[in-house]
Amino acid sequence: MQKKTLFFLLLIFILISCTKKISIDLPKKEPKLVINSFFIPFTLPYPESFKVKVSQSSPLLDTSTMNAITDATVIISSDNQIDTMKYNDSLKYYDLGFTFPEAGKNYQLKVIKSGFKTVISNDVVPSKVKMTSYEINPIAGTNDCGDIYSEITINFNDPPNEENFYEVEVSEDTTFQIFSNDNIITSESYYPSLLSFDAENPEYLLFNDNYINGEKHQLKVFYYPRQYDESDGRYINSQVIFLHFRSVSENYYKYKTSLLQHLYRQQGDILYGTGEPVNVFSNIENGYGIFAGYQEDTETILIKTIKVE
Amino acid sequence: MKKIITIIVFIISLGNCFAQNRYTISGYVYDNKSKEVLIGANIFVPNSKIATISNEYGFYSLTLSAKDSVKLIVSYIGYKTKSLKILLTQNKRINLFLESGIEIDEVTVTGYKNKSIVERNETGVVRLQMKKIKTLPNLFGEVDIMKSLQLMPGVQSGGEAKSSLYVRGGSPDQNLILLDDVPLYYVSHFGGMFSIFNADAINDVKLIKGGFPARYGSRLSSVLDIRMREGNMQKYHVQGTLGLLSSKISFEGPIIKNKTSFIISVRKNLLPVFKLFDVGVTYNYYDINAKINHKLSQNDRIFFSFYSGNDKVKIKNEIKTSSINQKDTRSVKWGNTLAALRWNHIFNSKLFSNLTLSYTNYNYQNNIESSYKSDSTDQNITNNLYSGIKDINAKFDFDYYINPNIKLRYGINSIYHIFTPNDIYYFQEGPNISHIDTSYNDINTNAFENAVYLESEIKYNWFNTNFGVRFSNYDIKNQKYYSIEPRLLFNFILTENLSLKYSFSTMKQYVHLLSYSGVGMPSDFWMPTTKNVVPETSYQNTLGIAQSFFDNKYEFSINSYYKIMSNLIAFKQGESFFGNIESWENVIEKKGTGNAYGLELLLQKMQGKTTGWIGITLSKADRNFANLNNGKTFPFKYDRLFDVGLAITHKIKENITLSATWTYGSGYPITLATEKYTSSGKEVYVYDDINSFKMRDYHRLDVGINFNKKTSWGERTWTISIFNLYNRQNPYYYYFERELNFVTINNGYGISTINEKGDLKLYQQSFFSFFPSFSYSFKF
Repeated sequence: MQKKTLFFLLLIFILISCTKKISIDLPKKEPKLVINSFFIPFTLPYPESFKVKVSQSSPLLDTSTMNAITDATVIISSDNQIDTMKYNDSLKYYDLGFTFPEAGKNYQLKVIKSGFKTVISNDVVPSKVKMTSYEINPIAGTNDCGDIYSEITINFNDPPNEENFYEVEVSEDTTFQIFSNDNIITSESYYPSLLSFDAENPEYLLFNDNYINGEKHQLKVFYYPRQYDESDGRYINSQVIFLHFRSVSENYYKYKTSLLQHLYRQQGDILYGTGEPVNVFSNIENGYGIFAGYQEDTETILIKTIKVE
Repeated sequence: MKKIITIIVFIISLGNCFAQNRYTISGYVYDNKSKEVLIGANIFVPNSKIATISNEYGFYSLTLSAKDSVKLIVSYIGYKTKSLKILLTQNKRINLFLESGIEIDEVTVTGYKNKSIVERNETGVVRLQMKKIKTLPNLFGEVDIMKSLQLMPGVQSGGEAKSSLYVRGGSPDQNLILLDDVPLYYVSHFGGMFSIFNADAINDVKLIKGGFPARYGSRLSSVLDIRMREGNMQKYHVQGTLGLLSSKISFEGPIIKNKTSFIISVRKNLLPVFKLFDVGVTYNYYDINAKINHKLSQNDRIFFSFYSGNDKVKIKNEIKTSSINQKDTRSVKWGNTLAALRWNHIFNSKLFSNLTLSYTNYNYQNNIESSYKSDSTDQNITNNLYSGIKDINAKFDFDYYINPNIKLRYGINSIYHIFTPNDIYYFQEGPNISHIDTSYNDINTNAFENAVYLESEIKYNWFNTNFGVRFSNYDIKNQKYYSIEPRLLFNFILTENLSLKYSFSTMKQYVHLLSYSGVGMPSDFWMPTTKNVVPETSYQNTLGIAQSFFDNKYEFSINSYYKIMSNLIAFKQGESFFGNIESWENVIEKKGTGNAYGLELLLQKMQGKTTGWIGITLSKADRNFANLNNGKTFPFKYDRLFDVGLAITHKIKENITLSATWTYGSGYPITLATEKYTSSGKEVYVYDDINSFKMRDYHRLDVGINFNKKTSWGERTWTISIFNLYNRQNPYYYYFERELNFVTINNGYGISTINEKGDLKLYQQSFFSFFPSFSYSFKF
């Protein structure tokens, strides 16, 4: 595809497009607090308490490094319970020790730091939707470069009478780029267009239940597993794959989908230009970032070394 | 409806009241060689105010007092002026024939003046002479009427080398583009780089930016009225052009001499540029214009017009081994088809009518097909998206020449729209995948759009008017909209060479466009007005002066305008046309408003060896949506404060023409980020207010030269053009990116150089630097 993109680019723009560095005066803005916090109820095997990262925004062309803020007052509250978080120096975030979020509860976050406007936010942990079954086909097809892609089929029942938001992620030690032909994914605004030559597939797929509300659904996603060539052919590595099927809050969904859109628009597309810029959604009042809840159904899948016939 | 018919019958009967002691001369104005009609020819009595111009079908009617004889002058730019004496004892049908090739300033005719901009009952109207346009510099050897119109004041291109029109702060969907009276919905080839209009098949081009006559409606910002040629009634002719990206050929001639003629023009990209590189990408486009014109009788003519044009981009990958056969094909295809049957009927010397029955179809298709076959697997996946609009249109128009000072135009129009917002088909089958064969939202939405109008052109010594009103109605799924659209135009003739013009127009638009405004592939989705998405409306006031001097060789006008638009739509932040089209009402912002105001100066030299124009525009345009930009008003994307368009053509010798165009424009608005932060491990930018920054100013000089030669077999022309002569790097868009720093490191095995991301910088992307092109045209 690289070769084709290059030639298409070359010919469409008549071999003479040109890039030039320019300078512009940008107005200086007061820095704001940036919050990063996703919270999940107690889930085995890796239960996590609340954790909140606090940093700050800076002028766009500022060359200084943005360090984390370690001396803010970070307060989590729900109903009548108020907890102040402590900064964990080794993990580089604020946490609450062994206090775990609960499903269905609304949590408020307040962060106070001198020199900045105090930020507040709130979100809820959504109800959990589990996979009813899943299946993996390690050799589902090959692309034009001869790379093998695998297919994971996920079955689930969307609860009726409520608005649900989902996320699918496939990881090993790192997260795989995944793609899908399902309309519930391809109809999402963030999902790269079929005509976006330069766009990479996202590392997570988010979708809502607009088209499947209250129905059973079978979702197929694809990814490229680690693979290698030997003298006698191509092999897929032996590997342990984690399939994450998440039920996420609306804020989580809005934040991550807008983040994907934002990042795609940063790159631009040689055929479609940079498009209209998109600001990342934030539910942090007076600041930037996200404070959002989710639940997760994770499956561990062992794949043995396979020779591609 | 009964009332409307009664009014029409009453108006028709009015003609008889004026018949006493006055006689009417009427007929058509033709080119004497080809016998094609001439649109907009002047017919007048010298040293008087009695004058008329031929209409869109070449018909004229002039009612005069009974006299023994009357002298008439007939003139048309690029043609020899004709003078004739007529014995006026009864109503007469006189067809007028003009000889082409000699401009009116090159012959001595005294005692008359051509009808100038001062007298013309119009404002904000731009006319292009096809002969002149063909000599202007071009890109890729392709003459483009849209690019010529972009040099006029009040018209923006929307981007380097693009053929879109942004008229007086309006967007391209707000332009009513008519080819032989039939609307076209998409008018560009090759990623928007040049228009679908084949200059060899075009007779007349008129752009109306304001002061809209009541006969036009359905769009907010402009009317582009393009008339196709009819074909030579006398002789067969072939003409063609070989160009870099397209070649074309036209064939025309009589089917029955002086009675029936035809013209067919075909244009296609002949060089398979992408195929040459064998990269699996193909881009093809074509268009066909055809017309048959038949005189049924002295009072009746019929025309059949046909246009079809398509663009197709295809990307194909195929892997074939002894055991595997894998194919992936992606294609995008879009185009228009148009067919129109028109009947001109002359009821009597004062009443002319035209009935048009037409069909127009715009469609956009996006197809993906993937198949994988091996000894053990046979897998197929197909994903198709179709979107389009089809119109079935019936239109009946009347021109009623009551006397030289009063002319009525009235008519009815009914359009049946068939919208296919999206039609998605998904199919998959194979041993390892579940079988899916499904369609999503395969639903057409149909709507009726109806209009009736009345227009009255009244001339008094110092005062001309065009009053009109248009009643329109739109009906979709039991949702009905009604509208009254008043139109006013006053032309106060202050002196022989100076006039003051004022106009007011209300316009309604019942179709909406969702489109991506990026660089490359077009992707226009036309959507209906619905219960939730109400018709767009505009109100435009214009005030201007017009002056002619040096015997009308020069025309000068200053026009100011103020336009208010309401019920505009736009995508919600981050939404685009891909995917979500079935729920399009949910992804758009509704009830937007817009303001556009400006001042336009145009100086034109119409005749002589050196002709051309300079247009200067000072303008502002903005938009406001409750949920965009925090509800604050922001500049329109193509708001340009200052703009200059200059076009000059100079005939060095009879066979050599030199031309140049220069454009200058202050920078388009752009949205830029001002802050950054890190979130989820990614660098995030915070964008400031929409379009709150300006890009650098734009300017460009193009030059061209035409060498024309008459040969034993006919005529040939070499055209050489240079686009962007002084190689100005104009901004197309801006983007931020981190600099790449080359860092030398010692990795333990030796010294190596690596790329390291450095500071964030702002970059300007430019396209189309200095680019020469040539074409070869022939005619015999």
